[in-house]
Amino acid sequence: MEIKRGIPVSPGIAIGEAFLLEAEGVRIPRHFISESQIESEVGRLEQAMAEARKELEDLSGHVTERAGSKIAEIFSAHADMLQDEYFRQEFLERIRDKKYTAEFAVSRTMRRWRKMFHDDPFLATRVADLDDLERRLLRRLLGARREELDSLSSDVILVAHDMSPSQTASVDQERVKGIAMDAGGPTGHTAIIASALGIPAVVGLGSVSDDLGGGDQIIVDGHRGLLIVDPDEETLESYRQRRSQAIETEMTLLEELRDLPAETIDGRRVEIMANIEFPREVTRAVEHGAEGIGLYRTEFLYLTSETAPTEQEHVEAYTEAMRQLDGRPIIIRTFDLGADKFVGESELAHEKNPFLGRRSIRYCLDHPEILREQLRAILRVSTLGEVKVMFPMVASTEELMTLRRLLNDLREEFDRAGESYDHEMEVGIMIEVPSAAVYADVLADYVDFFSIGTNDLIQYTLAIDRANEHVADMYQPLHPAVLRLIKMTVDAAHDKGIKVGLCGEMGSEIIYTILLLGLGIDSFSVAPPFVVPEIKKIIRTVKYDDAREMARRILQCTEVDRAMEQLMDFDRELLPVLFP
Amino acid sequence: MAEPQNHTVKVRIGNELGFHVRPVQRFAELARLFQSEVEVEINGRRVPGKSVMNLMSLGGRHGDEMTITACGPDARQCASVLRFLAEQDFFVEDNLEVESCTERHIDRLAALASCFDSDIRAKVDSVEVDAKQREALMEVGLAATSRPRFEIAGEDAEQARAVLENLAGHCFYIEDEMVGKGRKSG
Repeated sequence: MEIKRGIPVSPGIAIGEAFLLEAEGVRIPRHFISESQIESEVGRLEQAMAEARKELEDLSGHVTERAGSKIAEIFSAHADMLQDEYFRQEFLERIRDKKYTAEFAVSRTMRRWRKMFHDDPFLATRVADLDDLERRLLRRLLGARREELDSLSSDVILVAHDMSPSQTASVDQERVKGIAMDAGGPTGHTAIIASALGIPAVVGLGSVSDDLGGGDQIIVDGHRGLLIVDPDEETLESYRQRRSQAIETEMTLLEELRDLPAETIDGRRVEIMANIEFPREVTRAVEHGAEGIGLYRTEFLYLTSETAPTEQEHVEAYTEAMRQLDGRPIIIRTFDLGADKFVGESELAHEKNPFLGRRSIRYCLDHPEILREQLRAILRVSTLGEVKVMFPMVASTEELMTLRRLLNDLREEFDRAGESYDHEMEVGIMIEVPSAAVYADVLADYVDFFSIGTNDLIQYTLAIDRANEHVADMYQPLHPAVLRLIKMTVDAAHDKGIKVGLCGEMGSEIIYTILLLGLGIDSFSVAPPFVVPEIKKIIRTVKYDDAREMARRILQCTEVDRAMEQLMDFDRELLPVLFP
Repeated sequence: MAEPQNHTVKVRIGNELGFHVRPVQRFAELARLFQSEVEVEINGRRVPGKSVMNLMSLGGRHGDEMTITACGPDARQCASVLRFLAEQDFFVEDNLEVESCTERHIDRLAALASCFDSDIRAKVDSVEVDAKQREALMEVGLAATSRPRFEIAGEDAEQARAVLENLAGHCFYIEDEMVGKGRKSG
């Protein structure tokens, strides 16, 4: 048994078989053979090795002609590695002595070598050679029996070095019970999607994808950020119990609170909405008592295909979400790509300082055709229910005026064409750039609502990249400057009579619920869905006056630690069940 | 052939990139031409010297000392050949000047031939010279692309032939770019 520590990004417990995404999304279906199969298995391996070697030698020949001998030597080196007698013996021993299938023997042998190479920084670059060899052999061995990520036949826990957004997006939530990843941080796309889909996930594990073999039994502990490899019976049992207990607690809260409003004892009513990436997440959010969708991140429409989605594709996605919402409101945020998120035709990728570059609304204002398609789609679905549109990253009145004009032009087009749309559709902006927060009193004149995006607001205010391990501990939601900006935004909005929501991660961390309530937030949009009942529970237990008093005290704190202590004390006293 | 014996030599790794893929390949390839068991030790780790995977796993860097031990009937010849290879930066010449080519392959042939006791004659066109004599090879104007025929007589003739044919087969390991389309044998 081995325990590895990472960053928990999606809570829950998953127990199952590892599916290593690394080997080209290939999974080894069978691991052991019987005594009588040994010789035929050895034969299969020998044949695969001979074929792979032939392939490599041919490749080396071709490449010599085209690209010179140095590159060809890489392939001839691979062919050489395959001829290595010690290597071959190791494969054979695993088949003969341990009765592994040829595939499993290859995977395990490679794993051992990879581990050895990995420990030495000088050799770490050679790991790619081993990966390449492993893939080549497994391709030969598995032939048509390859199993792909999008057509899994049994439940697995996905283990990967890193995942592209489209890989993450294509995860089959019926089959993938957990995710463990070498790379990544709490704000990466894997984290966002895993928690949205309710799949327990741990990221930032370092080198698990090298150390694990396909088919290993593992446990993903998404609460404590642990990955347990080859658990012993005792550990397994205790996790099985915890898994069922967690489900029970969640179910009890759910039953109790799903249909009740988030209203304090003294009558302050706020909204609890959910953040989603995909329309298919709506049902789960609603089942957990979300009153609507407070943030529909539409980026994944852009990430799953090479070209920008058409108006019709937008319409189909939105219609699907609204069908599941059954009349509940939805806030659709427009294209917010750039910086940390990958985009197909990557004009965005080459900026030196992408977070301060042409991302999000800035990109859209330079490419209005992208925005136009999306806004037309939003107008078209606006008659199907309560639709609001929200622009990200807006920081000036000029940007807002341009956006308003663009929307008005489209409305006129609709009028001329006689197409119907919701004339009262609300238009809001995210407050996620410090300048927007400071300037909120003016911006409030131009919009129907605000939604505070704390992830970016904190990062831009404190000049801290949370994914950077050297400064990550300085990413502090409770920093007085951050809290003042939230307060300024809320006060400015309320002065002008508009509502202000909060859709950043801070809103989903229940430790901050009281503070945000006390600061005057009108609407929480949260993820994953299971925090909805928890937040409702907190709000229904507290007095608004007490929360406001708490917020006042926290705002006066000059030390983050002190603020955290006060919050924790208050939370614990209020609801010991939720704050152990 | 002589009785089994042990021969150990120590060499410092001279090439910038260390004991990486190509050096390892060449080392194992030459080691496999001998009957002797070969072991290589770097920084306290000792592995079989005919296995590319094992050699690679040593992660030998520029400046590391490698200890080569050969054990078997041809241990002395084996150790000398491998030492020469290591001293010559494993014939990995990323920055070799074109002018120096002519001499370098002759140096290699003469030095490797000298690792053996057998009498070794190299035939280029119709001229035959002592392959251990650098000057003689210079005089017949042996080119890196030429494929001399070897007349070898003596107790270690078999190993000597294997090593020298390997060398000539790889165009003396002079980088292909410099000798045009090189003939690469297996």
